[in-house]
Amino acid sequence: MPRFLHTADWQIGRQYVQFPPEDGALLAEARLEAVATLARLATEHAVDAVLVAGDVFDAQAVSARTIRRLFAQLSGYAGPWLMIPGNHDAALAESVWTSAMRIGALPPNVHLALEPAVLDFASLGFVALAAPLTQRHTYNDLTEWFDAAQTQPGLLRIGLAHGCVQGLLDEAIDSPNPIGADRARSARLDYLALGDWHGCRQVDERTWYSGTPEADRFRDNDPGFALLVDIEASGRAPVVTRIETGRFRWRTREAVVSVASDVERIAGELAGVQASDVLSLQVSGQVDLPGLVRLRDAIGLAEAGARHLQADLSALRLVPTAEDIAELDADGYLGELIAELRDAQSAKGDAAAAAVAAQALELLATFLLEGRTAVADP
Amino acid sequence: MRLQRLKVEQLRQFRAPFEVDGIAPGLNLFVGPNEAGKSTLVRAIRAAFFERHRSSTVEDLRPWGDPSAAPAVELDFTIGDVAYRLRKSFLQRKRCELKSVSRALDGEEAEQHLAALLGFTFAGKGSSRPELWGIPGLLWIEQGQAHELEAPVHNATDHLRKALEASVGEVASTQGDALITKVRAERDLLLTPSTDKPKGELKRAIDDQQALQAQLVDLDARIEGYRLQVDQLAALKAEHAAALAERPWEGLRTRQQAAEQALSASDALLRALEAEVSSLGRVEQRLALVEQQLAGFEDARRALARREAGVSEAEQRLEAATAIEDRRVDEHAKAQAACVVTAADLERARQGDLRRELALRAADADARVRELDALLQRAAEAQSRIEQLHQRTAATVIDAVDVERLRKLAAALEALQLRRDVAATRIRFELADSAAVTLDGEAVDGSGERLVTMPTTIDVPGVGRFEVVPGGDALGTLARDEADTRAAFEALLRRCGVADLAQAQGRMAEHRQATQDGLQAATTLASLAPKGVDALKADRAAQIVRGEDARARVAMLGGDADGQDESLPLSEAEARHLAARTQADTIGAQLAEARQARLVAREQHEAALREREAARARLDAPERQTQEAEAGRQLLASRAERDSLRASIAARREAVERTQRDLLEQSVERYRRSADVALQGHRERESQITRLGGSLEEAGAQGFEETRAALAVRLEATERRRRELDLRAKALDLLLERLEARRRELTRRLRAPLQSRIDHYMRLLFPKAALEIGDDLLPGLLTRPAGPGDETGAVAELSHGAREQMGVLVRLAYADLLKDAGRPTLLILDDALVHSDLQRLERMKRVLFDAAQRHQVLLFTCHPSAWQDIGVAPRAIARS
Repeated sequence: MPRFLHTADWQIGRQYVQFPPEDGALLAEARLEAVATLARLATEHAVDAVLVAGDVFDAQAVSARTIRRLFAQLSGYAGPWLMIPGNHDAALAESVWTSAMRIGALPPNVHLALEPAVLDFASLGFVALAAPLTQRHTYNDLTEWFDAAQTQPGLLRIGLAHGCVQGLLDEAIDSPNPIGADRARSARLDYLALGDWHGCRQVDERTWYSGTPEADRFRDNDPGFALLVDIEASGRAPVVTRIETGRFRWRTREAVVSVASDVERIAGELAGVQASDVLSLQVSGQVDLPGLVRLRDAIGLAEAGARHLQADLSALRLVPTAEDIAELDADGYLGELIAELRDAQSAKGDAAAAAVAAQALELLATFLLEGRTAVADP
Repeated sequence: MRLQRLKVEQLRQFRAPFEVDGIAPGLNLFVGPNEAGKSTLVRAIRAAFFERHRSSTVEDLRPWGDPSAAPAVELDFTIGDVAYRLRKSFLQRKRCELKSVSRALDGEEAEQHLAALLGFTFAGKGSSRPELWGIPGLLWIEQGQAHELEAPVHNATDHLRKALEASVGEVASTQGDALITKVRAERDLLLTPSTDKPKGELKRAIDDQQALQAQLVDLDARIEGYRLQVDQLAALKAEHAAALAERPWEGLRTRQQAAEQALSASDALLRALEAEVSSLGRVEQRLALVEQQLAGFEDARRALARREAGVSEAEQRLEAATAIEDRRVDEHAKAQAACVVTAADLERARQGDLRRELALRAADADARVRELDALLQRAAEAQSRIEQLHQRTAATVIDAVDVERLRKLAAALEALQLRRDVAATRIRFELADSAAVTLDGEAVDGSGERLVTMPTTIDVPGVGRFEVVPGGDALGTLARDEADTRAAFEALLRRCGVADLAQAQGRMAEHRQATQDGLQAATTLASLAPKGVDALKADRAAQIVRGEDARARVAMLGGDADGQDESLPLSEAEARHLAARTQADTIGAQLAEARQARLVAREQHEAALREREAARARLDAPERQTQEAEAGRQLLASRAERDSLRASIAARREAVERTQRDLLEQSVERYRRSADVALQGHRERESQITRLGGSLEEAGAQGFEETRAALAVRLEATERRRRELDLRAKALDLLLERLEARRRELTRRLRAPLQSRIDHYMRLLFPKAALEIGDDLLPGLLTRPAGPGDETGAVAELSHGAREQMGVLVRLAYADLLKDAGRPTLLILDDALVHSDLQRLERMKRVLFDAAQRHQVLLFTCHPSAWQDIGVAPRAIARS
């Protein structure tokens, strides 16, 4: 009873533009660690082969060091690794793969299909029909030839492809690298291992996207898994099990503050962050001065607790109350100026000017707060 | 505010309690020598208000060498209607009590209340500092500090504004100035103060961003180049594989060979054609020779016919020429005869003509002789007349000068007679007929008159004698003159041979006439014989000889000189002869021509006869006929051969054209080149693939895309930082601008009332000067009269004394404002105005006295005499 570990979209070499470099470096490192985790799982679950459905690398021109480091991660599993190039690492005339072969980084147990081929693993009871991408984008269905491919009867037919299953994903309607929705059936495949979609997703009984083993973006589509695939015999439905592989949880949180308790609620959520969280927080609405102070304190704490917290308060407006102004000793024209800025930050039209006014108001409040603290605590 | 009582104890030199009570509501003058304790009292008041009672930094209050002292100050004062007692002690006993009727405050609370009442701030830690003193800091002038105004006003500004808000209707701000300072400092970290250019962190962020951006653009270009090369390599590899599978150059070689074979078959065909064409050329050459030979024979026949025609034509021409010659001979003889006749006629006409001419010459000579005879006659007559006239001229000669003298003498004589007549005595008488009177013996009768110049006697018969004697000497003189003149006259007459004047004049006229006539006669003679009479005579003789000669020649000619002449006129005879001779000459020439023509015609005729004989001889040669027959045969044979060759050539040529040689040649060339190109392209592609592969390998090893991703991360971080800093800079700029605008506005409103108070005091100090208050609420420009105009200058540039006066004055103005705002005011001047001269001090006293009407003023001085006239009794300060 053959057993496979299905994974894809490792995107080795990916860098995280939106993060501070030190956080980004750690997240990039995590991708390599995820591969080591996959090797460990493959050994643990005693799989017959690991199916890697494309986008092993994030780019073609990556350094030799990165290439070597990746393949070193595979050492935890001695069985065959079946790999096809995806759109990021397509098998072009000169590619990351030719570089890897040139520097001799490919371990012997990696079975790489740089062109459409049937890989014969008769001893393990299956053949693999590989549909690698040989261009960055193609508008033909590269799996079409699977239908007519003849293989030795009795062996499992396992497909490997990278692209968008037609009609499945809204955003993929006109996308390149199409894959026929009914391919597993029409090509009489026992299992079709797909890559490209970074979330873990079932397409039909025999067709799955494994998703990326380590999340790489704020998109709640279930990344961070590999699939354990058991097929009892040719023609039998596969038994697919999700195995968590991701180290970091990427989440986005959009919150609107309208009443004081909203701030408390957000602060409560932030208090619960964990070291594995990569969080994007966007807060909009209006807040009074104590609320803002509270929110900033909570964010400060959460930033320390989470792997990364990306907080965007640009849509949040500080609206000091009369009590705030009194509290700040903002008498005389300072009080008037606060009122002026409060109005200016919500003025329609010039968004840039409103942002400047909001920032000015915050700075003013901050300075006044600091001044008060200084007086109170000489 | 009014201070009523002050008490100190254990404070500096006041070790024992010292009290000043009954301080007046207006002006108070405290005097004392140096070291008496004036400044200590001032310090005590300041300590009571400004220093925290817990402060450990007020050691200066401690009496010297008394570690256990507890310096204490006690003040009684009223603010409004409320009476306060402040007790404060320091160091060893730290206490503060503030009591009023309604409440008693203690410690910290008491101090805060005080600060609020007076408008100042306590120090958080340590001793009090000027910047915290607020309003009292302004109104309480320390020794020698009256001229310092800027810092005290600045320190009091916020308190002033707050205090004055009621009077100016504007809300001041407690923290405004501190905030502005803070905002400006923060802003100036990011933007340059004047030009708003980025600096510091912001500038670094912008520079970093631009540098990274440039790197990224560069890297993108290289990545793009790399990708293009990868695509190129793929395309090349695909082409290479296809070429290896197809091997197109081999097919092209095969086609090239086929075309070459077709071309060599065509070559054989072409060579056969060329051989036939050259045979045809030879046949046609031979044919042309035969045809030429046959034509030669035919030509000889035609030439004999032409010669015979030439002979008959020559004969005709000879006959015609002979006839013409004969006719010309006859005509010539006739013309010669006519010419002889006309020559004889001409001779006769010439002789006749000569005779007539000689006769005419003889007649002419005779006529000339007769003319000359007449002339000679008239010349002789003229000659005789000239002689006569010469004789007469000589007879009538008289001197013209004498005649003129005669005329003058006659005139003088006449004039004398006239004068005598006038002077003479006039005797008029009318006598009876019968009277016989004699006058000087001469009888007179009838009536008459006598002039007498000499004594005259009149005898009258019967009567006697009368003697008349003319009177005067004149008569006698006249009579003598007359006699003299007359004698001269008559003498001249005699010399000239004439009787009287008339005769003399007549002779002179006659002489002139005769002379003139003689000249005229000479002229006449000259005209008749210009060369003289002898010339005329010689001419006459010559004419006679000429006539004789003519007549002698006529006689020699014979014939009748004057008889009828039958000969023709000469001119006609000459014309006739010329015509006859010309005719004869013309015909003679024609005759010569005709003779020449006949000779030529005969020559031609003989030549034609010879040529005809020669032609006939050629035609009649015996071998000619066999030659002609042979040529005829050859002609036929050659023509047949030529026609057959032509047909064969046309056929072959058509065959060659059908092979389309040029196309075949092109095909060979085309296939050959195509094969070469295909093969060469293939090899080139091979080497290109190798080259490109190597270059890509090298480029790939550099990990461009990984580098780019890392760069993008850094760029994004930099951009984020730049955005944040940019927003912060803009926000700070906005804050600063708004804060300053609002403060300016506030200050502007405070200024007006302050200015009016200053104007009030200036009138007392400098009646005509004006001190202008700036937006910073400090005195700016002072304008005062100087000589003819005004002078304006900054207060800061004035003398120390003047600045001192201005300092006091501005403080008083502030005090007025505070008073109006219901704030407590107390003015303390510790030895102020020591730099003022007497005159200025006088005026300042006026100012101070005026201010003391509204405020309590404590004036400390060590010069009591200078303040004698301030209107209050001085209080001496002396330790008890």
